[in-house]
Amino acid sequence: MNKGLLLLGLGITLLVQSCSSGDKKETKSEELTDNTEITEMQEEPEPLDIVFPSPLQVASIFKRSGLTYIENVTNDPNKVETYDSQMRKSLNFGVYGADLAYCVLNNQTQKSLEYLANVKDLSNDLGISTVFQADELFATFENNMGNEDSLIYVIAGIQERLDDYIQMNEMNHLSTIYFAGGWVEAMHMGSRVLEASDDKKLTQHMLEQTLLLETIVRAFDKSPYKEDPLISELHKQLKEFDTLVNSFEYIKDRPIEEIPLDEIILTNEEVKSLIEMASKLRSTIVNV
Amino acid sequence: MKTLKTKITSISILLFFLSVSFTGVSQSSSCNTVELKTQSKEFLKPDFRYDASKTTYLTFLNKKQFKELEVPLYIGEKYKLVFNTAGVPENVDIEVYTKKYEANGRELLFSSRDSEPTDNCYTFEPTKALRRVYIDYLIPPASGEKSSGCVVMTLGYKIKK
Repeated sequence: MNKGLLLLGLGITLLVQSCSSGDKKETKSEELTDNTEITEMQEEPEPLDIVFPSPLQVASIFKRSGLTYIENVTNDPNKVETYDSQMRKSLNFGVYGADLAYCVLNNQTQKSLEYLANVKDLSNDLGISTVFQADELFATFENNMGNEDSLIYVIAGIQERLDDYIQMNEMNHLSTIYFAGGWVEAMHMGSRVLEASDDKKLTQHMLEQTLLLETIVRAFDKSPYKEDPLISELHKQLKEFDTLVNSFEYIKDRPIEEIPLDEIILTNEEVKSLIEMASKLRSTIVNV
Repeated sequence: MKTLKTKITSISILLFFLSVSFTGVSQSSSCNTVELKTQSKEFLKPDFRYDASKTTYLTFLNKKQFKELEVPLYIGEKYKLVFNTAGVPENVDIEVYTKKYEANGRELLFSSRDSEPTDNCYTFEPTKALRRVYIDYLIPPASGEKSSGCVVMTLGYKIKK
């Protein structure tokens, strides 16, 4: 009995301590010497320590770059029913989040409500529904229809709560998946506009977005979900996209920090290949 | 009687283990990230909109430590970074660089050593157009017993009409 209780105590202690350290990730022991020189560092950067931009900022930049509203460029809201796996739901959570931001920024309030409902549905399935405080959120949204600034404020609030939830629940790897879904959707929207016009500013912005590819690929390299067939396929395609962009004459062999966007020149073939790649990625995510 | 004494001893040992465990938990959970972020957001007003945030949990050990965050940025956007250090019991140096730690020619853009915090918050607005910045937390050895805390970094982008 005595030994049993002792073992139980030890067990509980170890369990609680392991939960504690897992919940609040401890700093890695990259020691520094007494002077300010850094001598021992981690071998490679961790994807968890990348802070990706919000879908709202991506959508805002796209809008200012000339991304006009096109009917039906967003993902069909009814497709939400067909997304069955956790990874597809996670990716499309990002897709619908980008669609929501796009509609809000283009004063498409009815559409925005549909996408808000989609995002909420997926959040239920993904176990992150508390982020949405559903009843209050929909009422706020409806009360502010037509008021772009207020709706943007609401969307930014959702993002904040999502960030909090992800960090408190150690879901940082999933945030990479959500971001990738939203990023691909934004690239798809940009591609659709580029197909119909030769907008230099939008091309510049599309290219700037592709400079994030290397970072996204690096995050996927370390993802615990990379063995999932869908994530594995997407990972492969993201790498292909990165390779493609790095083969563009304007970008080839130039460090990322030294690529000025205001002088950008892409050949028609390069623009076409960029559009095709964005379309392929998007199709992988939204079409079951 | 002996059995009762044995039980009491065992339960005491169990309670000891539990108290040690939960002391550790309470130290870590002293970091109220939502509250710290709410404070940080005040520094974004009125010109910057919330973009992203990252809470970095730190445990102070008997040695110096280092932690780095990578923050991709967009050229043409103006940003503000707010570092809320109210959740750390020890002084943590914060530095912002143009390149990651092992890169040649990385440039120091900001150091908390050269800045005075307001309500435990340091703010930094990059003036250069950058594709990404790297945030380094330089964590000193614990001055007393092992302790823990967190730094909350909040990123805002300038609102453009």
